Amino acid sequence: MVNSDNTKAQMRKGVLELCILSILSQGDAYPTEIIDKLKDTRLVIVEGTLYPLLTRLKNTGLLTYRWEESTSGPPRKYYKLTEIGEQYLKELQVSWQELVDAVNKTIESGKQL
Amino acid sequence: MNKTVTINISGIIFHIEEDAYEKLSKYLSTIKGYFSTTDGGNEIMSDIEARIAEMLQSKVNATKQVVLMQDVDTVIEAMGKPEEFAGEGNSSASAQEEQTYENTYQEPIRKRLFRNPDEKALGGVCSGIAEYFNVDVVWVRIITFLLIFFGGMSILVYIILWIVIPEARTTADKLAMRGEPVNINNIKRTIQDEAEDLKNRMGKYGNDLRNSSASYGSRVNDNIASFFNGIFRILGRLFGLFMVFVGTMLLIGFLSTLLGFSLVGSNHTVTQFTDLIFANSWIYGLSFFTFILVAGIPVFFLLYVGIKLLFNIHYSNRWLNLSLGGLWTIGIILSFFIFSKTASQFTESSKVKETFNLSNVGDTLNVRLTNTKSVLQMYSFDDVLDLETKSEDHRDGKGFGFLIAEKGNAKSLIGFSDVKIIPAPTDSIEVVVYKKAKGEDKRTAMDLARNIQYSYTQTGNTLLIDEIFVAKPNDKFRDQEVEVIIKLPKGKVIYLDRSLKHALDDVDNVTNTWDGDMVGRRWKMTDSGLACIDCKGIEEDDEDKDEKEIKEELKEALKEMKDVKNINIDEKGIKIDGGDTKIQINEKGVNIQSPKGNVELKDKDNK
Repeated sequence: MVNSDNTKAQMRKGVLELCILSILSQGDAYPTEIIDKLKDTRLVIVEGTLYPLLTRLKNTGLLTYRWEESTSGPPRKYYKLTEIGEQYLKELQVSWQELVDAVNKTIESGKQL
Repeated sequence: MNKTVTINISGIIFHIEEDAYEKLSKYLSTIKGYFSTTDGGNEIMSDIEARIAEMLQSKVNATKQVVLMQDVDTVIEAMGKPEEFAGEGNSSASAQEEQTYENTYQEPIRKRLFRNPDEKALGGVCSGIAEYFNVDVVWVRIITFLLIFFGGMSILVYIILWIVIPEARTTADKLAMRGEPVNINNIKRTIQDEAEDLKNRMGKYGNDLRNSSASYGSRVNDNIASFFNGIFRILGRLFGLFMVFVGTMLLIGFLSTLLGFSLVGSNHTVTQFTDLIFANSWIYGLSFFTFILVAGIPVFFLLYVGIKLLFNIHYSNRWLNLSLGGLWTIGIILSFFIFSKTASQFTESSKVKETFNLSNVGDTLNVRLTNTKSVLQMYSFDDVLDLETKSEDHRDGKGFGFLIAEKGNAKSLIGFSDVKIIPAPTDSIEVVVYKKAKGEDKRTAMDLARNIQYSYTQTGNTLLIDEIFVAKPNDKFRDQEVEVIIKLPKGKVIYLDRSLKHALDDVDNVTNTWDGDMVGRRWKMTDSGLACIDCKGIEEDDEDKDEKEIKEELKEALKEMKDVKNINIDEKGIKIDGGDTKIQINEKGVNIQSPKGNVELKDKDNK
């Protein structure tokens, strides 16, 4: 299991997008809030991961943002799901469920062998 | 005790320890390197910076105001190493896009021009340049050495660069100095980066406008400012290049002037002149020094600012700026002093009058100039041939009006006489010669005037006058002049030899003929002045007007013409029909018909 860490990282990366969209579907948030929520689920290894991803999601039209002044630091970028983003999230959730089911079944059957 | 620096991250000011700053700045530039080719790389960068600012702000408070090394370490740990997250934005990226990242890894730091303190002969300028262009320092040094022989140009350039370019003191500086070599690809990428940056700023600006409400006004202004900053940065570099170019040209001109100044005995009339103008040698030396200050400092400053703009060097030397400004002011004051001191040498003027009566002249007096070469030979100057050529140039209007002749170490001023012809009150022909000079007082001026050597003789019906006059060796230049006035009684005829063409000075005549056109003809002194008696085909009314007058008449006629009805140009000439006024130009000359009367201007040579 030499590549275990790497595999875990790849898996985390793959689902990170789904997680971010899910967090944003609960309400608008700025990166630090997203990070805090992700930290609870131990998904993010380093914060730096988040920013390129957010920018990419925004550039593909799944997210928009607005500036909000902060009393304790630089202005914050509040991200929000667009309609396309919500649609995309639903599709992702469905395929994620399918994937989880399929994977679970595979693992289950592997255990039985 | 540790040194701290002040930095601005995302608009927030931090005091940070120097070593911590270096680490942070290296970290940021590494991230920037990773994202330099990513779409929206600059946006990612500013998001990350905003987060870092937020994190750092939580590390400082009223009692702990300085960001320490461990704070930066915590931030970097939380944010992660660039290689851990750089590919994240494009987790679905294709193989080709991965390739771009590969390339990006090779350029972590943008290269900057520094002086290299680790390998220096003098100031490390050459080795710094060598690092910048990634060539062997030996070549840079050889070129620098060779350029010394071009008027010591590289010495000055070296000094300027030594002052302008900062030394690579810190590790970060040295890394930036050694960064990727500058080549065509990099330059292209740098420009692309800046263009991309600009595009993003514009996009951000647009976004802000869309999202803006009153409370975000300041943010919008910030982005407008940074957008214009981007434009100015590109313009700044171009302008810097332009300034360096102009500065180099001026430097070459400046150095060659200095060379002319210092080469005593050179053949340039201007430089030979200078020591005859200034009252004494220390004023001359002072003027040399003043020239270096007044002309040299602006050239230096132009190059200095140009290089700074071109290589984006944000490092200014207050001491240098102040002392340059001070020296330049001193130069200006000195030049005023020299000017007034020299001008005072010209305040008083004196003249010596010599009268010469011509006797036994027949009907016609011939006037001509003696051969200049023979006059020059009489003084046995060093290089008569050269002087003769120069005096010919002078006659063709190419000279300064004065020449310098040398004989051993002595210098003599040579000037050119002016000839005038006026009516005489008596019946005899009289020649009056005025020798004039200026000086700081009447006596000096008089002495200088007396020192002028000028000769004229009568042989039979001919008056021979010298074209040139010669001042006493080593007499200063004090606006010496010789004026020859020929007083001609009424009824006498004078023949002006062609050699007088350039010597005649505003000679009045009834036909207002130009001095240059009066030569080679005979003129008779009448009641109303000199009248030409052998100007063929030219009569009182229909006079030979020169080109200038034709132009005047045409201009006048065209002004009168209110609306042009027809312009006809063919092989016969040009016809302009303007109703009342008609102009016809053909090989015969110019014909103007107007309500004022008809003017016909004939071209005597039929050109």
